[in-house]
Amino acid sequence: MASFRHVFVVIIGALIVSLMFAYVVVAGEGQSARTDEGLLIVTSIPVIADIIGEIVGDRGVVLSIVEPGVNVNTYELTPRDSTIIAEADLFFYVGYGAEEALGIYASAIRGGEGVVRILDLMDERGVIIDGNPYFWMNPLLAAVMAEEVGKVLSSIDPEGSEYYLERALKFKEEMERLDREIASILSKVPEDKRKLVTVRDTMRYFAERYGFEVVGYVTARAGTYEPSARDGVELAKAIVSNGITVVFIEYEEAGTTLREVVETVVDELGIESVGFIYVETYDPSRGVNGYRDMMLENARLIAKSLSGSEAHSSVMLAGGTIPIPLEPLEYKFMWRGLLALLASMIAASLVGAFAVLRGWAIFGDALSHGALAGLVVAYLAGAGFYLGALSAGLLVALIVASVERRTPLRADVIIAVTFATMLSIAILLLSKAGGAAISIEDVLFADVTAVAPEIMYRTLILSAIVVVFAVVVRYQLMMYVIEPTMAAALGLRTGFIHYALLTLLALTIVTSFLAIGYAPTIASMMIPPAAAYLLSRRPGEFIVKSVAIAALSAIIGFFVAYYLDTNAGATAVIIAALIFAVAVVSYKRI
Amino acid sequence: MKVEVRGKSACIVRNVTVKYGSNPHPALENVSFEASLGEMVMIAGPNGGGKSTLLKVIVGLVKPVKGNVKVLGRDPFKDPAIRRLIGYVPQITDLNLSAPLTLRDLVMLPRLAIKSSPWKGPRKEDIESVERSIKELGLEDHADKRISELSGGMLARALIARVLALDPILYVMDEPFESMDWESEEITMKVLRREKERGKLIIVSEHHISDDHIDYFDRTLLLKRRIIAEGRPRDVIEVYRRLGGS
Ligand SMILES: Nc1ncnc2c1ncn2[C@@H]1O[C@H](COP(=O)(O)OP(=O)(O)O)[C@@H](O)[C@H]1O
Ligand SMILES: [Mg+2]
Repeated sequence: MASFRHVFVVIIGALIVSLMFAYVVVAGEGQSARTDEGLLIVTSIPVIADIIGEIVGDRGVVLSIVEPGVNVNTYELTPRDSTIIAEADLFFYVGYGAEEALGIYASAIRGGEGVVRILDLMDERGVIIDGNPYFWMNPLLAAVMAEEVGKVLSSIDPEGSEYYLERALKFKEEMERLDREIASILSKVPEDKRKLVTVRDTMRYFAERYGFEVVGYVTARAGTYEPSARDGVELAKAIVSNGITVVFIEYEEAGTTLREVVETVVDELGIESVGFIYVETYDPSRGVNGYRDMMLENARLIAKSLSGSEAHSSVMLAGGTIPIPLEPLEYKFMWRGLLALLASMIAASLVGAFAVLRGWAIFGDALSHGALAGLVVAYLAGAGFYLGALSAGLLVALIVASVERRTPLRADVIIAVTFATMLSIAILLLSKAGGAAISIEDVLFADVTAVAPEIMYRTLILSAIVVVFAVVVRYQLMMYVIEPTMAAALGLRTGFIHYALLTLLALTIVTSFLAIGYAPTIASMMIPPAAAYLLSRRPGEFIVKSVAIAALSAIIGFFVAYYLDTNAGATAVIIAALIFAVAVVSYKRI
Repeated sequence: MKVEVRGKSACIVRNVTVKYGSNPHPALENVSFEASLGEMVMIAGPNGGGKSTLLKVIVGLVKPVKGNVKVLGRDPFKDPAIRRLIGYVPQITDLNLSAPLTLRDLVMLPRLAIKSSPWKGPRKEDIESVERSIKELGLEDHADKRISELSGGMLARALIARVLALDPILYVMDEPFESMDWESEEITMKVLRREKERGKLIIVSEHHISDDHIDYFDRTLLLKRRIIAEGRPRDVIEVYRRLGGS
């Protein structure tokens, strides 16, 4: 019986998933970090672990939860790490952005016992400037931290207090030496070139100490951040007005959207970006083995990059010729953003309109989670993101399509099942992919402002394919989505239409979420058709209005986002939602 | 499409057996019959007798495990294009009633889906045919209503109007009168009779036969998994009543 087969498949699926979980848990238990010899100190990020290690010396072991080379923003807690955190004598974290979440996890795991927020210690010493967390970029402040950590260690290990004091003093001397070394490396940078542009505001303390000025970054916020349309333009202005020729990229930002924003601007202005500056982490595979190494490496990179012979940037601002409302379009990357947003939203609303009629409204969610799982697999396999996401999206589409044609289960049930499974697989893979120096979130929450030319072209091609398909087979497609049985009885090729629509749906979701982000994609599939539905009586009208609302929202959203300094995709969605709200309010009067 | 319509049998069902899934009892067992253009045939029988199954086999929506079907000389399962010449009215439709569709769109859409080119849109003859069908079924006052606003009987008539607008050679209707009142039934019957006179083949299934229309049919098949009686409607009805039908 068919239902028996389903039960069988579900049971096997459940078994496989539980086995995977079991593996993760058991693998963790086999490698307990507990040593009976001395202290076990656990920290959030490697740089902190390295400094604390100098104080702990041979009285214990210091581990970092986030491994060297990994962006803390992409870290997902695993059962193994939870065990280590629980077993530690102390857990240290800095207390900023996504890194702060590790402290919160640790507090929860340890019932609040033995969890130390380093920024609190530093705040009491009065060395924190404007809440900027990256104090250790000044070695003298790293020494201050070491001293404070020594005190905390003494409180739980009184026998070692003299030892810790001695190590802290020795570390301080070392830091003073390092400080002099850095200053001498930087001495060859001319006065007028002592300006830094980075991805985040990570060089504040460094600049303060060595006579530099931080003139630009994409954001001052730590943690996961959605760049806005304006961030790119502001950065470009800062670069131009300060005659910057080199932009420094933090190692942690290697694959993030923030970096894409920087690269886009750098490309457009024809200047140079160099990497990497080490902040949260260092990378033994590049011969950078700890805090001292990374600080010296940073100084050398800055000295080398800024002591070149060319005096000033040749970059000129094209401004002044463009009327104010069109100001964002001064830059090519803003044009790309606008076109990508427009094309993505048109394609998404068009396939969305047909999908909604077919009862596939929540399909977007299942597909995008499938695509997310695919992204991670692609990353782990070293393949391209687009390819990974696309194949996973298509796989989900195929599963849903064939289960729907083969069983009497309703589409929404199949979709919900697939969606939940894919989401779990994505979470599972993300937690295993913690070693990725690239942020999956950043790929997911892509921003149109940072759209690369090839991604823009991809959205344009996609949009063209979707529009041509929808126009050419519009009657057959409409017949199929509103009444599949009749479409079959009329001799239409329903199998072809079914799989073609699903394929386009998957293609649209993957292409547009890599261009404009996850939420805007899903929203564009649903909101414009929903609003159009309320505003139309006839099928053609419905389709045309869906697309028109999407296009209007994209254009208005893009400019509003620029002037409000918000994320363009999200703003476009809100414009669409406002149109929907108006449609709801005026509905009765139709 | 070129089809052979002159021969006697426009629809041939030969030794057809249908099984659903792993159900060991066939829904149809060794069913055979033939029907010609200009005929009006009633498939009668109890619920579960296999009427809907037989009609789906004729339309090509269900594949027989044994036997074969020829509609206008072609196998409708293997050759879906032939289905364009069949006006099928399903007993249960999966029509999305909340779709933004007026009655006129509902009637127009199938015609556009199989007859129109994407470049031209609705042609004059499409519009004329649709308006004529709507009028013939007395729906002209409701043509601009959304399908969600139609009564059950009205919708049933609209489903007749849309196959009429297709101008098919064969009508296959699965209990079309089920949700109709007497007036709708009367209107539909009148239209079907005219179509028959225009040389169309009409196959209608019924589980409940009202005396009023019985004489319109040339022939009745009594279907209870197999064809258990065939002949003039009144004679077959007699058999059916004796078997406990109504
Ligand atoms: N899709 C289906 N799957 C499984 N069994 C079916 C299906 N459709 C019909 N049947 C079975 O086939 C038999 C004939 O059904 P049907 O052709 O609908 O009869 P009728 O239209 O005369 O009421 C019934 O026993 C019914 O349960
Ligand atoms: Mg039936």
